Amino acid sequence: MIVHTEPVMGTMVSFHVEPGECPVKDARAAVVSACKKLHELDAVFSTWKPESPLSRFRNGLLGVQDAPSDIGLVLDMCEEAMVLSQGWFDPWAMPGGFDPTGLVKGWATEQALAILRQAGVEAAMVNGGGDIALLGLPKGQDTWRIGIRHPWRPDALACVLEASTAVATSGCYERGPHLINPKDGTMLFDTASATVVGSSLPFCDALATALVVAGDDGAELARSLKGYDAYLIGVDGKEEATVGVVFAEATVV
Amino acid sequence: MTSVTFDPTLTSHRGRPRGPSSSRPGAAPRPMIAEVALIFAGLGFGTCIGLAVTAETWKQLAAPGGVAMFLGNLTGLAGTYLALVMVLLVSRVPAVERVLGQDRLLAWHRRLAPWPISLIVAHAVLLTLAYAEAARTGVFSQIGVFLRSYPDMVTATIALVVMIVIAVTSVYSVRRRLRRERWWAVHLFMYLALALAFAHEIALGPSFVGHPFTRLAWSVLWSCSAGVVLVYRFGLPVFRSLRHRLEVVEIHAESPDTVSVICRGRHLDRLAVSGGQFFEWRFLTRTMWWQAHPFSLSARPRPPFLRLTVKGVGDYSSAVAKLRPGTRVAIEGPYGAFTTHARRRRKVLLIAGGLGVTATRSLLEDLPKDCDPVVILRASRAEDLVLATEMAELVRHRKGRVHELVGSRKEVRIDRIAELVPDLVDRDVFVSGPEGFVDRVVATVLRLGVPKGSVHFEVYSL
Amino acid sequence: MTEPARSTRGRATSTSELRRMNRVPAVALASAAGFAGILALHASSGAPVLTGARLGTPGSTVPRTTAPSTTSSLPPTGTPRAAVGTSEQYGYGVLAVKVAVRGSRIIEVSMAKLQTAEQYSQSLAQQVIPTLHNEVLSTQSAQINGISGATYTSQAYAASVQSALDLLGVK
Repeated sequence: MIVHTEPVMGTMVSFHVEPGECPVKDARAAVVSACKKLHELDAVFSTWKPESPLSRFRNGLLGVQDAPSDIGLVLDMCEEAMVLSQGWFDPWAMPGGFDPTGLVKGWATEQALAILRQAGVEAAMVNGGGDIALLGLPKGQDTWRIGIRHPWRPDALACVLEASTAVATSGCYERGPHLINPKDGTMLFDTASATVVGSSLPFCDALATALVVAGDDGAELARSLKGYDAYLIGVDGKEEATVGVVFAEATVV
Repeated sequence: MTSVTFDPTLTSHRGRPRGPSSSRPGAAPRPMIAEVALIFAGLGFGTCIGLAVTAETWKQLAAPGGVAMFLGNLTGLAGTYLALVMVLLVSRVPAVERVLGQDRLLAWHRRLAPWPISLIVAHAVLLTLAYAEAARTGVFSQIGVFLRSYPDMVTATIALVVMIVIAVTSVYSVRRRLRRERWWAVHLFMYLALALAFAHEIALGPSFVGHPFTRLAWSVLWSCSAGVVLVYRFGLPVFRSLRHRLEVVEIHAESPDTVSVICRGRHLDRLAVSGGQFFEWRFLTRTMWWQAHPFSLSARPRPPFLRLTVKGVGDYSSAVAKLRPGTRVAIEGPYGAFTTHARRRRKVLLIAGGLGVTATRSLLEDLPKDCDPVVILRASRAEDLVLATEMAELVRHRKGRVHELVGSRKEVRIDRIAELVPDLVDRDVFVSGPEGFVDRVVATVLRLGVPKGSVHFEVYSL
Repeated sequence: MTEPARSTRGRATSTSELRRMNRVPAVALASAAGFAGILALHASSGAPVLTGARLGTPGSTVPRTTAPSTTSSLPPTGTPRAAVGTSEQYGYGVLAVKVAVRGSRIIEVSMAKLQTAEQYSQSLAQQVIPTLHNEVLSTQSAQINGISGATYTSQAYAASVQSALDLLGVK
């Protein structure tokens, strides 16, 4: 098993690769190549580097035709995600301009996994700061077992899910601080954490963000999604999961 | 038991007391210190307002209870800051007190007082309403939530109640009815209230949660203020009293109702005093130990002796006349800006009414020989002219003149000053005495053309 | 001098006139300066006043750029060592990251400390911390392949990781 952790995109992207038939040397080279790709994408999509193509694009200094093609791709994906999430995922509505960060990280992680898949490795897990792209099956198991971070206990898990393709989780942290003033005040369903499981990681990523922002309407949105399953945790501990979510035992006998 | 007289001729030609060990002259006030302190006070206030504003966002304002929440936070910060200023105003830091004078600082303290208390009460009310609206509960259940679930709110509420009680007792109509010692005892609880309230500010204030630097700055500010109060309000006086170990040695009648109290102490040569300054005196007898009253020195210290002159008008001052020699005395001070350092010009006019002569008497000793002093002593009856001979001697020594104006207000008109002192406008005027007297004289003197900066006064109350 | 009495009620006396704060303009000016100073400080750290943006929102942070680590072709050597990075404020609370390395290779990154005002407010609001049906209190004991969780504001996260790496002597 090849394990590698790469600091990039402001987070840590970890690789767990089971080469299988593929020669270890090639597998390692693929990991290096995947990291390189991540850095390239980071350079294009970084919102805090004013000279990055995305920054120039969102400031209107660069037209979509002149921008790297990846930006066009991401734009299309954002539109699709917006439709899919019934408008709750809206990268155009972010303060400061168009901000696809909620989707790009998942997409970049998926691109990294694609490189590994092309190299022919048997199984791989790329974890891009909580967005997980999966390939194959881990040794000795019939499914990937993914722990979902507990929203309010730092060293605990909310649950363990079975997954095979992609998992993304989003949380309240991104919504903004409530501090100790109950600004909104409602004790109705307020989402602490939303996990989306599906075939495409960038969409899982965007949908997870959308579900957190949707708050009360999140449960309804989750039920309406086709091809994606969601697990929601409310700030009051209320949990909601669509039928496709498979919970696993924490320990396997 | 030695009979000590303060012989005015024991002054050198430069007006300083001659003697085996002369006492230290008082430190000259540095006005810059007070200016800087005031500037910083203003800066701090603006900073507090800024902190409250920058902790807010439009979204939060638009939320239910948002505006009330913002105002509640703003009033909390501003009110607490002003409370801090209030405490510092009466912390009796010598460097500041020398410049501004305790009477002025106290006047500011009183003038400022309604603001912090109103702001803090508003803070409590506004935040209760705001949280209740945000959480969609009633006001009373919200108060319950505050007390049960939020940290340090019980102590904060106690602090609020204490502050309200103090405010109520300080309202003139209530204070009038209270014995001074009762009022004072209640007032002292303000320190406790402020200490109790501190925890909830740090734990809950939006400008502090998640902002360690602001939290640190606020904590440092409060710690330093507590330090200042401890040192200058309590530490320094205790130290001085212990070091000088004053005790009463002689009570000397100056007139039927006025006595001079002469005290002896150690190391009085190291006590820096300016003529015209006063101390807060605490005579350590069973009945009087817990009160401190201000009295001016009626002469510069002649180590090892000090003198104060007291008129018996109330219980306390009458008890002073009955003090037994050997009574220990604790002092706080020296305080007062009624000194030679306040002078702008060379020539002076000293106007003393009644017991105001005490400050004038010690001030005179500090004045240089070329000040060409004109002294006006004003009293209703001849026997009230205490220390007159000493004054006459001191003035003669400086080639000045004394005018004694005795009689009722109808008989003696204060405008006579103009004819008594033709070059009035060229002199610095020092006025001391009862409030009404000082008021009238100051008004007259200003009217006659003396510039404001050259008028200095010390008010006595009876 | 006995205690100065309050000047006669209401009437503006000449003594009170002389005592009046003629320094009011200077103090007012200083207040304005303090206020302006705080606003300027706030604005310069990236968050415009009174807009929706708060310090520490994902869009406005500037993570430290770290050089890509080179993968060596040799298998990781040496015993694993771990260090906990500095506790960093991330706008909604405090976090500290624990980094485990073997040689110069990072093998594990986990959250050593996470304290959010969010959790605090939740616990206050509910007075009882809710339990989840399938929760596992110790990640150590669970047999999992990976953890999916919300990302934290990158700057604080990266800073804590970097400090842990510095402690371990890894570039």
